[in-house]
Amino acid sequence: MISETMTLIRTDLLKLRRRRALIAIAVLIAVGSVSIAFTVNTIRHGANPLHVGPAGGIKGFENATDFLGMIAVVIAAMIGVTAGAGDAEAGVLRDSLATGRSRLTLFASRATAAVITTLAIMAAALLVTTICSITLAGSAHVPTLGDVIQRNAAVLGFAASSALVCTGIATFARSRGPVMASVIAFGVLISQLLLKVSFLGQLRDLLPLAAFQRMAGDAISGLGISLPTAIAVAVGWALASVIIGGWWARRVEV
Amino acid sequence: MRPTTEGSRNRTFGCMNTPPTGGAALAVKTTRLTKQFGERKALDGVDLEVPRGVAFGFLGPNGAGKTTIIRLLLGLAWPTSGSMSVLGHEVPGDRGEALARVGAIVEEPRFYPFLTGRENLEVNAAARGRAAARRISDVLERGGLSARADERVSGYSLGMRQRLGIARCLLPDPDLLFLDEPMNGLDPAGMLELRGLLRELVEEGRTVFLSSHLLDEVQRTCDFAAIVDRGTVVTQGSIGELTAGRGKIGVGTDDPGRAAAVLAGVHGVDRAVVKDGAVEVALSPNGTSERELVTGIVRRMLDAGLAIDRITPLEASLEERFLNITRRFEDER
Repeated sequence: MISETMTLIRTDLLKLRRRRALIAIAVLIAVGSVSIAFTVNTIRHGANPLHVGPAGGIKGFENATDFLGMIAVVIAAMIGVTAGAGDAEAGVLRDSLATGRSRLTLFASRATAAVITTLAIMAAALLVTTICSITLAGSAHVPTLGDVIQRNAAVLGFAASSALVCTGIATFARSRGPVMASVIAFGVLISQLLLKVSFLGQLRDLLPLAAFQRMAGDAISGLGISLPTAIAVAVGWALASVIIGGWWARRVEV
Repeated sequence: MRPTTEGSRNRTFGCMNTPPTGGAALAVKTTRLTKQFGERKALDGVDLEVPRGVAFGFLGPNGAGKTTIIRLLLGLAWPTSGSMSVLGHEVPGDRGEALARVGAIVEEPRFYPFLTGRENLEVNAAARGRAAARRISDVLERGGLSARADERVSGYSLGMRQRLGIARCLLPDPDLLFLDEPMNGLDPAGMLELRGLLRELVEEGRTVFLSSHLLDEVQRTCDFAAIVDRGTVVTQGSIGELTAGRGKIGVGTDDPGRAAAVLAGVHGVDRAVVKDGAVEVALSPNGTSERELVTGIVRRMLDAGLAIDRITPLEASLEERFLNITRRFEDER
């Protein structure tokens, strides 16, 4: 039973991996963007070391991981939405369901594959970030092991949560483009704006971006969100989306 | 001749060589199956019995409900009321068991274009279990796709996709195959090949449920058929019986011209025309039994002093029967 489930997940991973353009773009966005950022900052530092600090060090690491928190939403949207709605869009959902396999199992496998793929891409980006932050620290403080663990875990946790959210919503909506655009708009732009709207008060604690920033150890002006609350918010969003996606996967007529 | 069930929409076969005795003897059984989309009834109290080990044609015009019933039987949609079983298992309640030995193409075979033919089968086999995965090479061979199995499906022709669809159906070593318009897009050679494959599958003891609007194909391929129109099974029976001359007889006589004129006035005769030196008589039962009609025809001819050489039932094409039945059904409504 376990090995059959693993086989199912493996084939869902294959379906994502073989979308070469999607994966290439996702890797380019995640790994490429931080690589470019470190390269540019290194050049700038080399050209003007008195006024521009080293590209690496704790500051560079914090900036890069904050940036990767937003990139995680984009990658999770690309991968999670494809995993959630790809079968329906390709017209093969019927063929999967007509096997008689539990609809929930099929959904869970797609969600797992989305999380694994998203984490793999984000892990590569974090690896580059961590290496660059240490090797390009120059005279600045290098990030401690605690910093590395906390911020990398925050990015990965946020990426996993976002991937589940995207898979669940896309399973419900059964279309890729609009869901991808909505998730990216909300995660990258609208959340940023909402975080700055002070009259929303503690309601802002419920934003996934607030949860991420707290998990990463960033101070958020006007918000006193605790770490357990932040974790609960990230888990809650993922859980709610998975429940909606799973419920819909069970009852949808195709 | 045993009667078919034309006109009695909710009765079941009265014409099978080995009448089924219960659900287990049947590949498919539906009882008063109804599916409603809002106000519209896509299926209206369908009773259908498909015996095991035969090719069963499911005929109907576009929008008649053919695909809807297949979707319900595959657990892809839920019935509004009624019950159904597949291979003796209730659907949707026992869906997993019921579909474990069922292969299906619904509407048209669809694949991930960015995966190879083999990978597409691997994806489907993963949902079915290890035994299905072990059969991948065999079914590719059977579909004549071994040589191109490792090419991406995006490069496959329509015919190759149809064959890959059939190969996917064979992954669970199915007892029952649902094929929805499998001849679509095939050239004559491909159709001939597929017809041969379907007969082979039936000879292996599998049941093939073939939904099609290609009446000629169903007549050539299937043993039994049901005609569905506007969500209702209008008639079902063996192909032989559906195409038998129940509605048409040929009368050999010494004076066909006069015989045609005499018979045209007989109650229960729709029309009588001279054709190939004999009289072709179209019967219109209208509550009269065939026996009474034929007896009346013979009596009128003898009274008119006409000699009779022979009376033969004429075989109608399935297409003729289909059009007659669906037209009459429309008139009744």
